[in-house]
Amino acid sequence: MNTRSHVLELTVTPVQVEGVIKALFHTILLHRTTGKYSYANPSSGTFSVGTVGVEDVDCTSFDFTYVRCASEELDEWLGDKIKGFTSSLCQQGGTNSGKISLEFFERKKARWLLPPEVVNWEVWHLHLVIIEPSSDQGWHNHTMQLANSLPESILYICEVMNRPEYMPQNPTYENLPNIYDTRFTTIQPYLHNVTYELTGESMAGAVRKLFRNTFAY
Amino acid sequence: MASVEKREFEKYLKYLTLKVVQVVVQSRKGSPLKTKSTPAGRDWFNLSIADDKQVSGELKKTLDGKLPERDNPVCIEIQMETLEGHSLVLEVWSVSLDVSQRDIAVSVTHVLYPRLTVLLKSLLAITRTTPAYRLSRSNEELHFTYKVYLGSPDLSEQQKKDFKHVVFARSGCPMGTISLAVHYQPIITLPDRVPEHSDCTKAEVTSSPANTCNTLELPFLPSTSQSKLSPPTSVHIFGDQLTSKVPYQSQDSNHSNKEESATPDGATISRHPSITLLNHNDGYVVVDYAELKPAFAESGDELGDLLRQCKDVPQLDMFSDESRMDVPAALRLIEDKEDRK
Repeated sequence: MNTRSHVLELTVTPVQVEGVIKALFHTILLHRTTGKYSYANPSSGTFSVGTVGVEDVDCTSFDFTYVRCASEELDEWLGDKIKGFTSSLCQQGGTNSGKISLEFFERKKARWLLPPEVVNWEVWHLHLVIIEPSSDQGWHNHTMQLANSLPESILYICEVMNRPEYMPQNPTYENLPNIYDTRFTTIQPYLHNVTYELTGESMAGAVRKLFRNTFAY
Repeated sequence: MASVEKREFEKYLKYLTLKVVQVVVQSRKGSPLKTKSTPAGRDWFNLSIADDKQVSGELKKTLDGKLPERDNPVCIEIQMETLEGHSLVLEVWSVSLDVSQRDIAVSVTHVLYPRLTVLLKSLLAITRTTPAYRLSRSNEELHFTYKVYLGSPDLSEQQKKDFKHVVFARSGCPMGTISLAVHYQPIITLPDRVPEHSDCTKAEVTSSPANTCNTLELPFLPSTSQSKLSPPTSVHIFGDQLTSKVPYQSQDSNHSNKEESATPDGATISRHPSITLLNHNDGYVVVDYAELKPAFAESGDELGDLLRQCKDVPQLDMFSDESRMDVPAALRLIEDKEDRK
């Protein structure tokens, strides 16, 4: 099975980074979250599914509203995961960029003597380019551009989510933690993780290494 | 087996259509959505979407048992009305079923049902991205109405050119492919305000409360002068125009003492039996004097008449012309009365 990979690219100001990431990742997670599974009889394999609540979130640093799962736990977890990326990206200042990824995976059963295999089945990469407009016209242009690019990104996410593509099968009671993240009390997203890299930092690091090695002789 | 699946499918499509209408209409109410996640909940499509009774009733009347089809989709039209009376169609959302595109490999119960849940989640997300949503959340002077009907979106040729058309969710099954789409105005230009008139009556009906004449600015303080006092009956007409076009005011369907009446469009409106209340941006509430019954007033008396009656307080006998006396004499009279006690 090949991992499905999707890329979103947006240009934002430092103060908008966290809001944009949350808007897009919560939209993705909304589609990849179900209600809690309840197995009446674990051996029978039949289960019932709980209800997912939804809530509107008004972004504070730009004029946009997105819908997320009604789960404070999920929002706190996501906030913690993106905090490091957000603060690192904003600290470097000037024109900078970075990539933060939301990965959905499942754990395949371990074969003899081997550990369980972690297999990504869908990954969403979000490339962010940081700008700081210096003029009113620049701010206006950026605001108009973000007002177009965010809804387009949401539309792309929805179009992808409705494609008839591979999804992990409904698990048995024993296999539930290998498919779904069961730590949240009221909802159940697919197993997922957030990773990031700062392209500016990696570039600067590579250039510093090149100079060091050149002047080492 | 095929008939059982077909019955299941028709039930899913019926409830999906109901939920689609609820999501679209509720998203244009102007207030943020908030529902709860419950592990033991058993809602349709495992999503907590409240059912507004007025919307459900309206849909039941419109559909009359029919289901959407490719050439006969269920459409939800969102219109915006300004206080000047201008009306604009902003969006038409649609649910359709194309029986010519089938996917026989899909199980209705195990595969289609979860996909319809994803479809509804996409609708929730997309309804927040069109310009009409921002308008409904940010501008209290605009009023939004909805209309549900069976058939192709009712758009003029010009609107078909100006509107953007997006099919944002599809789900196939052995009975056909269900699609959600929207025609929407990408740029909404609000019409200019009507300039203020010197004629107060016209201004009351056509302009916003901020532009009304002075007599309407303080409706709770009628003047004692007959010429200045004018119960704002024109505001009552103004209120009628508003309430007949704002079905969102009747959201509280548990309020059993509210009357309901139907507009020509078929959307029902609600009125309190004794008072029509309007909220204005400048912070006070306009009350219909024709129906207000002030305390202690005889039936049929208006508030102004009661206040005029109270203004003419009867004089004390000691100060009347027949028994006029000087101050020392009045004091002696009072002392005598006290001694007798």
